Amino acid sequence: MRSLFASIALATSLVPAIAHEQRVGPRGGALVDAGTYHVELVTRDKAIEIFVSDAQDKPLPANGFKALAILAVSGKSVRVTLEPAPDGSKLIGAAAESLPARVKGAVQLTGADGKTSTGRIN
Amino acid sequence: MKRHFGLVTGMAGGFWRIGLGLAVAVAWLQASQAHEGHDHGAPPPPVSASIAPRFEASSEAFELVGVLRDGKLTLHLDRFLGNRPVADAEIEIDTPVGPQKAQRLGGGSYQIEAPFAAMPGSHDLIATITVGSEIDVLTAALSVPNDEPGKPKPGATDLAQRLPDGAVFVPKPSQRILGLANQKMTKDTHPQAITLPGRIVPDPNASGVVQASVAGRISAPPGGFKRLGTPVKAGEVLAFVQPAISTADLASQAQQIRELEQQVTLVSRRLERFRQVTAGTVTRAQVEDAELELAGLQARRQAVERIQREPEPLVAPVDGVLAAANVVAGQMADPNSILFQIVDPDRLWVEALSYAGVVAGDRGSAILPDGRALSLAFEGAGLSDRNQAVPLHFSILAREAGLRLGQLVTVNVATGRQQEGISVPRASVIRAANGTMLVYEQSNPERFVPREVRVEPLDAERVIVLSGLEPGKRIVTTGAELLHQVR
Repeated sequence: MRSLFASIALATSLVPAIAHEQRVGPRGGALVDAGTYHVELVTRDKAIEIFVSDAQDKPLPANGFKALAILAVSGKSVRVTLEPAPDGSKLIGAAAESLPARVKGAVQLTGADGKTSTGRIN
Repeated sequence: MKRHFGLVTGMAGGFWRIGLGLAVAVAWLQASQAHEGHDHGAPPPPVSASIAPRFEASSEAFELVGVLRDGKLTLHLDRFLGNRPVADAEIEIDTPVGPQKAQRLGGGSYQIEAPFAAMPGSHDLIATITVGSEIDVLTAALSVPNDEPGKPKPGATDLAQRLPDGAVFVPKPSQRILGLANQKMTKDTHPQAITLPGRIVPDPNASGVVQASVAGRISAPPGGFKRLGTPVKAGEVLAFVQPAISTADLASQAQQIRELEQQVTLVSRRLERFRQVTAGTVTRAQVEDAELELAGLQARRQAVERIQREPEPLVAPVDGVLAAANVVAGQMADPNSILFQIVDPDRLWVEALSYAGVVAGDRGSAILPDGRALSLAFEGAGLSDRNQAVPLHFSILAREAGLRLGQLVTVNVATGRQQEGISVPRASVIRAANGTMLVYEQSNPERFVPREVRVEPLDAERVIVLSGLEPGKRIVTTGAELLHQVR
């Protein structure tokens, strides 16, 4: 019986994920699906960080990935290319101007094999 | 679907399996939700071989469709709500070979060269759309099929078609020709309305009829009879009736005239005699009496003669327009027959027959047979039944051209009760061949799904959908009839 209640609780907790609300990742950034990856985009002033994990939310090393973020900021589009950080935990890039904590736009992730996958941030 | 399947197997196997079944279903749901790769959760349209490769992307503001044909990617940009083309946008597409600015083709269409799409496979694209200060970033994947020999090639244009599941695929260029527009529908509480048969009647205070009071021959006024539709003023002479006198009346009139003439002769002789005889024999009073008698007799004779000669003028009782005329020169008019009808077209009423008793509220609306709507104000209801119904009178609030007396209308009036539902324009609702009512939901930029609904009247312009439709969906409001014709 416990598993029954647990699965019903899980099923009901999933309902908001179906709605259009932007999901938030463990670091407080926007969590989007890009192909088979989960991508969390965190903005800190001018800096952008992208954390890549697999579909089971297991963190993946950033080495080998490249990313392009196109963000809509105060009526302009901002393009930022991101490269792996030296420690390989994330992809980093910097915009020309400071970015708000919540941004809209899209992220394109390019894998080591050259395959791209994109995700949209609401 | 799979979720239900999981649930059913779970139930068959006992309680612990319900949990397992749900968990499996949930895991599937999570995976499918997490990696659908587009924004609005709707399934992508099935790709037909006769349709050129395309992508679609949408946000709360825009809908973008890209069509690949002859190495060029044509983009169609529309508003997500309303489905109106956006012609003044700047579109930049991030292609696998770098960003590219789209060239405007006009009418909400744009184009880029797409040499990268020569390779079969999926190509990720990011579109940055700028319209004034509005900016949006959309993601899409263009899937280019393998060029297999013997496979049918897409035609020069994409054709609108009905898909096997009943939905209708309409490419964006066709949508613009059909003028398809959508509207997001919300659930609300609306007054319950009933539909009554009605017809246009004249306002009794702004209309009148012209009848002859005597039988007689009709003659035209100076300038001739007025044409139908001519404005007339109250008191204006529309025709004359020359009273017809029967033979008996004529004989008695002639007799009366002769009698009067005889008396006139007698009295004038007597007066002459009085004047000839010497004063003193006849008093002054006798002379004056005779003079008065003579004047009276002459006046009576003139009056009798005038009866025969003078026609009765027929005058307009109110200001208005000549609505009906049943006159021809020389025609004999019966007394009480209606010769002219005068109506003020700015003041018409609608008479409706209510079988459900008296209605609440002081407002209503009516639909003309051609679909035009009239707003009505309640004027009064009768108490005596007519054909088992109560007559209700409404005045028409705003003047509408082309109304005719006796024209049949459908009247909608509130009953005073409230009901919850989704109000949609009448033009959205279509009667299908099997008799059911349908509305079309725009589920994707180029896909329209028919939804069977139950509707009730709301007012002249809208109906209320009580079931069959979820709120928040985009419903086709213009062009639904044309969309329904697609086979």
